[in-house]
Amino acid sequence: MPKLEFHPNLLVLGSPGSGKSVGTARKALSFPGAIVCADPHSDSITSLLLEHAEGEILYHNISDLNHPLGYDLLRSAPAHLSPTARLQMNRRRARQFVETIMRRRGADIAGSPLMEEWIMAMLMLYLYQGKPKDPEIIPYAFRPKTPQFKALLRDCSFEEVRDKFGTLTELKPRSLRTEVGSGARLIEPVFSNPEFLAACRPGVDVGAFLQRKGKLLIERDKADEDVARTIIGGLGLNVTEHCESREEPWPPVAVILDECTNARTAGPFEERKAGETRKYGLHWWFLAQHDNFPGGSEGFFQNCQEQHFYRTANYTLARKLATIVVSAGGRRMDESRAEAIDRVTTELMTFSPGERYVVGPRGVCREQVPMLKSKYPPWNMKDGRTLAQAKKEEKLCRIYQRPEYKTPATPTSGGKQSEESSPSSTPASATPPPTKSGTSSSAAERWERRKRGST
Amino acid sequence: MGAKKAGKHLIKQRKKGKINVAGILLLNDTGRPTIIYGPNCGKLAHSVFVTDIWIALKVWIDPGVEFGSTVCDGLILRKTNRVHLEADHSMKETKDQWERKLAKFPEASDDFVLVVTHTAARMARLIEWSSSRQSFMLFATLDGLRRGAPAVDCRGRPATL
Repeated sequence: MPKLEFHPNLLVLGSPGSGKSVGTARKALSFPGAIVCADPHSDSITSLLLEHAEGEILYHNISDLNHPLGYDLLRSAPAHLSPTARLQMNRRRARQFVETIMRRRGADIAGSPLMEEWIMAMLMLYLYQGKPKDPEIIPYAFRPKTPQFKALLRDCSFEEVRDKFGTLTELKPRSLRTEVGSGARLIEPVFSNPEFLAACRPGVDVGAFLQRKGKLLIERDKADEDVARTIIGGLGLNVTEHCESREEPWPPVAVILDECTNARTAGPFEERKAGETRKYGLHWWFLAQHDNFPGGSEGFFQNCQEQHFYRTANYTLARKLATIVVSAGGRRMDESRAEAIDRVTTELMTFSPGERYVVGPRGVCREQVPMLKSKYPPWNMKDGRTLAQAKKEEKLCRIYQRPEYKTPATPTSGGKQSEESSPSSTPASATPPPTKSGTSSSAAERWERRKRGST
Repeated sequence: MGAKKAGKHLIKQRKKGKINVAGILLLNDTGRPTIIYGPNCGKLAHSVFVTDIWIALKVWIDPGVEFGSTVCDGLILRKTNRVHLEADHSMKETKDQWERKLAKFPEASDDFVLVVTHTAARMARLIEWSSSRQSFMLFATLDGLRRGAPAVDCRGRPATL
């Protein structure tokens, strides 16, 4: 195992257009381990990493159902564990999911105990199924008169949860709505969303991919905000479990959460894990426009050993960050603390894009991050695209050829899904995999056939 | 920019030391030798030929990509199709030398190899010698590429690039 290097957790703050994404992408490209990058926008940090990163890359546009990636988000604890260990692991997973789903309301679990109770029970009901079921059956847990509900109850091996849901069958519609209505309204839009269901299915062996120093890039694009947040939260849990259970904290893994306050992908779980998982080789990078983290920002400032402050339009925030900069050693010999804070506040509010203060274990420095230049000249292609766009699309076509994008058969599906990836508007995936032998067909025929398949 | 203006611009850049002269080549049998700008390279004429192919195809060519146990002159990517470029500039390779080169390619591949020659006669001869790897080889001349003519395979069937 190579000698462990110090990789700090990172907190990046700055207004839109201040250069956060470019600066963080630069740092990510030189990171020596695996990367998981979640970006609620398109054409931001994920796009930069896709263009410049090399090696094993998986790209997941959540709204693109033609190239879904499954992470087995709702997998049950392994059966070989003892019942107590299994219960503990399943409970932890269910709790993390509940916490992520509840962020939609901007509330924490403690504020809605009834909703939390039923959603936890619903997830435990699914996790304790004897026969594996497709995740789209989960919303039926709150519909007692349906055959799917009866199937869920029949195959559940956890008696306590089975009895709990058994009581729903005796309730009248009005009482049922009072009891589980709010929970059903919260989970229905997420658990019946095809993008979320695709992510719940098995597909990517996240642990093995991270051990190969792969780069998993996730973009929300047009997907629903709650769905994207739930997927990213579930994936964060998978990554954390893998890093905590591996024998050695190598290779290092960086989880990058862009716009984590706006998209609400950073919450109590991430804050807690940022403080605990560095020794397992898991590092968290939080990018935000403002420090309005749920539950306060102190925990994030405390757990992130390195902080990057870009241009900040808000005076209050700039002043707060200036205090941190000055306290960490950003004061000149000839100025008082108050003058230094004033100076740094003004600088933070007037930085040009790419300028930043870096506050870390080695002190404070002010630096300018150069732009990430495209490695291709600005040529225009015949079809109006630029060379860089064309190369990016070709790279995506190659990435989509990976076996992780082939959708496995679901346990109780309607038989529509097959071993191959579903046909799509994107040309490359509609082409059947060409035969390696090819000695009987001419090269020109094969070329024209592949070209036809791709247009 | 006209050729005269471009020439003057190049000379100014050269004097400022911003561009490097790689060498001087006689591109045609007669006429003024041409100054070649760019990084220094061993086989200047061959590199100029590859650049001409590059310009004719209007695609980006990634150099130094391995194919089988050898490295071709470049890799062209067309969506999911990978095309390795073999530029036959010297036209002096014998049949044995050509077959030894083909032996380094895999016997069958999903990739293609595009062989570009100067003349149609040379192209026909290479087609004859390439029967062992006919499943993925395409042939074209530089003039043909400039005119937009399709490449052909070992059976003479066209493949539009």
